[in-house]
Amino acid sequence: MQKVLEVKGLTKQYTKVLAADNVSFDIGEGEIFALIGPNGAGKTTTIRMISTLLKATSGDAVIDGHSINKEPEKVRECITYLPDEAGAYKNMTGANYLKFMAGLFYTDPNKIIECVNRAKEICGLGERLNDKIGSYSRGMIRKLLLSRAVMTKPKLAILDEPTSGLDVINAIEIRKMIKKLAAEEGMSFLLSSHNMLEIEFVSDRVGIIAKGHLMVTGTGEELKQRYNAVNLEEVFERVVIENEIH
Amino acid sequence: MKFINLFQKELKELINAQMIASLVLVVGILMIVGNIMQNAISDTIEESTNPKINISDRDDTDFTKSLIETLKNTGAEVTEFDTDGDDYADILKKNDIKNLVIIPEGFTETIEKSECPEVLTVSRMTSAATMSNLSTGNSGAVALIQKSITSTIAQNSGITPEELELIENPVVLQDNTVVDDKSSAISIDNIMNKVMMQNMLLPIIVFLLIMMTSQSLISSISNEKIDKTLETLLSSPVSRTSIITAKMLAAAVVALINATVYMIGFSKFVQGASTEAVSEIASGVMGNVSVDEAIEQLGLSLSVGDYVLVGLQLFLTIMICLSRFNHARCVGKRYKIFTDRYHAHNDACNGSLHDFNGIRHKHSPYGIKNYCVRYTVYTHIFGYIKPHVRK
Repeated sequence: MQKVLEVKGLTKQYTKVLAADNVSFDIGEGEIFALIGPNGAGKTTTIRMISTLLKATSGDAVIDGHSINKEPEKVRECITYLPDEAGAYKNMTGANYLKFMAGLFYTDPNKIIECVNRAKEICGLGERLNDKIGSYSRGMIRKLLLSRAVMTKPKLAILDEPTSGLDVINAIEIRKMIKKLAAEEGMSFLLSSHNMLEIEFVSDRVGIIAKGHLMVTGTGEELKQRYNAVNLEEVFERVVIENEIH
Repeated sequence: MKFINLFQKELKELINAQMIASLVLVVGILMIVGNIMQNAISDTIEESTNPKINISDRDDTDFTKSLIETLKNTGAEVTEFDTDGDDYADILKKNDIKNLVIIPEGFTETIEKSECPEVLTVSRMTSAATMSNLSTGNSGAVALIQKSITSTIAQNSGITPEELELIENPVVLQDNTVVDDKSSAISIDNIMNKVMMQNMLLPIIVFLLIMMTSQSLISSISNEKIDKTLETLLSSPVSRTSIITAKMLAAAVVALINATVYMIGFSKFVQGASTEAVSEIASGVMGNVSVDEAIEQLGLSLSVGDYVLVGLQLFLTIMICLSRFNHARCVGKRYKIFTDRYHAHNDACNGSLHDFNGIRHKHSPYGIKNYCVRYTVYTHIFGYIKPHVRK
């Protein structure tokens, strides 16, 4: 399988806190990879470095052949990033927001229209897209932003806590959407979550991260077998305990 | 194309119903105030040409009677009052008047002795507003009294009115002003007054606009951060430069629209407040061209091309100020990052904004502590942020 993302020893040192310590993993084409870990484990820091929003203290990540250190502009062309608790411009209508964002990726009007139509289909907001975003519920905004993140068919979509703040039905819809896009369009996803049960359902492979260290990576089944656990939550518990003993 | 997309978005955010409403309001107020000023000034001018004189003759001689008669003959509206005592407030109150000229006892006697007689004036100040006290008739009355005493003395000494005229104004001044190779029959002071007014106006407008645009620029960036749209924008394939330039350009364009509207409003205001009075006085006193005509003759009036140039200059000024402002803000932000880190209050947000400002943070050769101290010293001593950004 061709690799879309290769992370090589990414490290982020804040003054006193080592937020990410030598994190390395890779994601193949059409693969859904999830970083799981508790709050403050370094998930968001790692994701921000890969999205070129933060400069890594050391290490590198290569996305579709472009290094985040040397060619951040090229990297931004092949990724989309959905931040945790992201918002949208409240005075714009949903449709205009999609058009504006598509206009940042493409200059060809036909391409832009194509993107917007795709996003309209994916988000399922229907007529509400003509209303101002200020009037949307949290779930609607999340759906709009998610459809925005995948409408340009990026090589890698980076979704930070994609279902945070959503009810069960909406969360399931979004999980299904991610799986479908990966299977049908061959898009790769990098997700992060602290909801391990959700991740078990949606992701092909997971990486468990705690206190800045990427402890272990593998498919859900592999990890469950290796740690003799019933679900990923148990795997996580054992990984963390094992790490503390050593 | 991507830039135009960004620019349009910023422009749409800045131009909204509130902005247009506030513009209309400001221009409306300026025009109304201009009109009021104009009315007040024309009232004043009218009263100074036809003064209402209240006079109290306490001397009551043939000379003072003929003096009052002369005052009446000049076209002034003269009313006589009988008063005594020096409780002037009471006198004004009793007679329900605002101003009064009193010819004291012994007035004629003093003149006959060839000494300088006294004339008393009383004016009531009703308000501290500039315009409200302009129209007291006392100064007009006193001038007329002086004039008639002069002519009486002259008559007594056998000097004809024509000779008197010559003695009073031995020279007739005819001012001419030359600009380049054009000349106009007007005093240079009048031209300068008018030009001064314009020179004052522009910097005030520029100052106002820079304050406004820098505010809107700040809030447009910080709102992106607050609404959590900044990160999405920064991870999209557009350069940081084009994001910030789009914001600046949009702010400047809106500022220019504001400037144009303000200029129109201000010019109405200034027209009402000054030109009318100045040209009235100028043409009244000089008996020749008005200031506007003279400015036209001298080629000092602005053509369409000149206005475009002024607009362009305004626009560039605003752009330069905004970029300087942004520059200073980067330093401020950098300082904040430094102190944050110094105090170990770090978080990921700072990193992203810091990167957004385009400063590639490397360790300062001065050390963090040193930098903060230097920064504090600069801001405290010089009162401004010393730009110290190294790429």
